[in-house]
Amino acid sequence: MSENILEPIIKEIWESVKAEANRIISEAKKEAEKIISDAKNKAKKIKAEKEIEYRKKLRKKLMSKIALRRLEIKREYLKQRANIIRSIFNEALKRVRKEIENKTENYKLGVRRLVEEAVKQISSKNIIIACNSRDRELVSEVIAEIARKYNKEVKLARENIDCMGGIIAYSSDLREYFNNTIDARIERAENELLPKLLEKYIRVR
Amino acid sequence: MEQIDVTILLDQERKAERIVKEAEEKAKKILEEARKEAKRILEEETKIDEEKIAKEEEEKIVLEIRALEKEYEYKIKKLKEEVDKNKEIIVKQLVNYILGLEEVG
Repeated sequence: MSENILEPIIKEIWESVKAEANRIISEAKKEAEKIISDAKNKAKKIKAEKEIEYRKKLRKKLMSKIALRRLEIKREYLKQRANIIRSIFNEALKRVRKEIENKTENYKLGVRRLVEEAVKQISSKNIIIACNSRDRELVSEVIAEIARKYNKEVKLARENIDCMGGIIAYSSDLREYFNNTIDARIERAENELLPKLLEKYIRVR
Repeated sequence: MEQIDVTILLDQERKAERIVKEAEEKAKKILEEARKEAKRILEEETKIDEEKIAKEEEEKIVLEIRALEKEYEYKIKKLKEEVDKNKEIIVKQLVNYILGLEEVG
């Protein structure tokens, strides 16, 4: 008879025990899931950090290799660029030589202007003009006229100078000097005029 | 009034305690397994494939170099185009300056 009375109590105890056991297991499972999920997240983060660090280290190592190659490429570019620009200047020199060799009207006019410019630049009244042997006749023709125009005494030097063309003018007291040879003008053209022209007409740097 | 047999209750209570203890043991085991797995994850899943990364970085560098070469090739192409377009006027001005025909610049 006593069992009948106890049955509901026992049933209640068992239900509460089962619930407690389930709760313990379920909480443990939940915590286990969290432990694993946290570990996965942490692992992902650590892996990403390790990867970044390794890439950085590797990149640093590879940079010296790439820097050298970059320099080579840049050097090659600059070489090609210089050659292209040189070709412009070479073309100009070719034409200048042709004008000189053929003693063209352009060249004669040029020599006249070179003499005139030099006479204007030198303040002294007595000026000596020197030129190469080829241009002697041409220069002697123009100096008389220019001397008259500027009211100065302009003489042709006895000695010839070694140059492509053009003249050197100096005062008879040797205090003033003006180099207007073609050679000097080529140098000025290359160093001063060409960069200006490139800046004006060529925009690619 | 009926008498209650306390021994039955005590017996049931012991069984209940044992079941709770078993559940606690099982929970402990579950947590231990989870911690073990977490340790394994942290050891295994944090490893990086250095060979693969090195290959990727080298490929990136090859691409960078190619891009740089292309950039300079393009610059040279553009330079040639501009030079072709303006060479005559530049040459003329240089010739005129060198010969003394005109002061330019």
